[in-house]
Amino acid sequence: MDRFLSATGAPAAFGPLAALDAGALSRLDGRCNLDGFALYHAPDDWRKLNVHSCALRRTEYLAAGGFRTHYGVFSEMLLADALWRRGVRPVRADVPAVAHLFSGSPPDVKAYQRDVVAGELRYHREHPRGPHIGHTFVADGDPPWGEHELAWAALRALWGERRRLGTGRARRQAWRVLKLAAREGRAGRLLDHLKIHLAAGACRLIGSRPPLARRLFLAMWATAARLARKEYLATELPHECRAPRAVEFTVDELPARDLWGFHLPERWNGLPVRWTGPCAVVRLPRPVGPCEIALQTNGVGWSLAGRGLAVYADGRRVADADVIVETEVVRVRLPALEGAGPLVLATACAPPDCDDPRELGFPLFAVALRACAAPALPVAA
Amino acid sequence: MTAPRFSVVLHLPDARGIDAQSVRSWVAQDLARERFEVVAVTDGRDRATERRVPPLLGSPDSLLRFPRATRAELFDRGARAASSSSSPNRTASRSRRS
Repeated sequence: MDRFLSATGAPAAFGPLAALDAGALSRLDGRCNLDGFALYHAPDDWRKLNVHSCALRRTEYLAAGGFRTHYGVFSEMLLADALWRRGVRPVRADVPAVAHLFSGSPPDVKAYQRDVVAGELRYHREHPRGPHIGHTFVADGDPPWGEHELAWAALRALWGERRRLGTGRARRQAWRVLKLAAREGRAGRLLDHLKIHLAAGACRLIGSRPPLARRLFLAMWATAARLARKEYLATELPHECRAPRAVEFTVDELPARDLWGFHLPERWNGLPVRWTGPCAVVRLPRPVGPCEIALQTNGVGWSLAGRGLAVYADGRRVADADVIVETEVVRVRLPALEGAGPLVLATACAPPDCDDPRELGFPLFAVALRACAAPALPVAA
Repeated sequence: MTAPRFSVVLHLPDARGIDAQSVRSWVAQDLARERFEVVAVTDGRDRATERRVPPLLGSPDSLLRFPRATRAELFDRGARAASSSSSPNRTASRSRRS
């Protein structure tokens, strides 16, 4: 490595890695990790700096801010990203070969995933607008936010508006919400523990060679990632999420993880739009003080008049007088709302009488939040 | 005395029972001994490892103990404490000679 770095003058290098053998789970863990690292080693991949076999000039490490330890093992990815953005291109060295003892045991897999997934989710919470890191440890598109917030908001709105929505429709939607909430609850976490230990037991039983063992092992890692996400969401306090005095989001700027009960994105006259279902929930930054929220509908589709639009903020129904339905916009006036996390806004209305096979609510083009001045105090005559 | 060219940050909580083998392997590289140092880092949970490792380390090496530190914190503190210009980050493992 000394000769290599002296000859090339490279600020960083990565070398070959070998896996030591300590049983079936260790072999599987080693094989899966080496396959993953092989992807990182592709010429244009920025993730070369994995800690198993690399050298980095100390001045570059310090200049890039080092490991941001608040984000746990995810800080490895953050450092690799920061170095890549700074133009540091690790080069491949043929020496030294480093041998690593991978474990693959359920306690080690769970501990690793708990650390790295919590770090990633914390990073996303604290940097909602990026910089985006092009690698995730969270399994299969699981959102980095708790869906239970959205689920409970939807349930409250469905319960409150069950007559307006029709009992059958409310029940169907409630069932979807309950499934979501149950997956994230204690029962879901217990089931994940069980799945992980069953998969590990099966791998030990059949050995590391059959393709089935690899599939089981990868499923065990994915389950551990899901479990880690649920554990993080169950313990981490809600983050601070304050809106500026005036802010507007087009519907395509709202992350999918902050929406529930919406149909797929569409475009109308070049503008992004998403139809809500009869019940829909959106998570927004929390306004400071009283505010007005404008839900832009642009007058598209069927009128909301006479369809009994109800709005819930943080699970509490907003008085009908404070929900003003205009042709192109729905204005919702809110008092100052306490709470640290984001504001969860739910809407419910009867679907229009139309031929569309989907159950529709209203088209949402954009959401605008505007802080309202405090009402003037009455002046004594 | 000049600073070593390399520092090997060795994360001992990942040793999985091969801490002694791993340290022996790292200190026995064919690079001149004064050209590199081993900075072993530990979170203080495994007293047996902390007793086993110091006699295996050479004069430029060090064992740093950061109670209850996480994996990322141990790597970071090891890298910051290193005195070389390059810090190969390593988990506990055996190195083949370069």
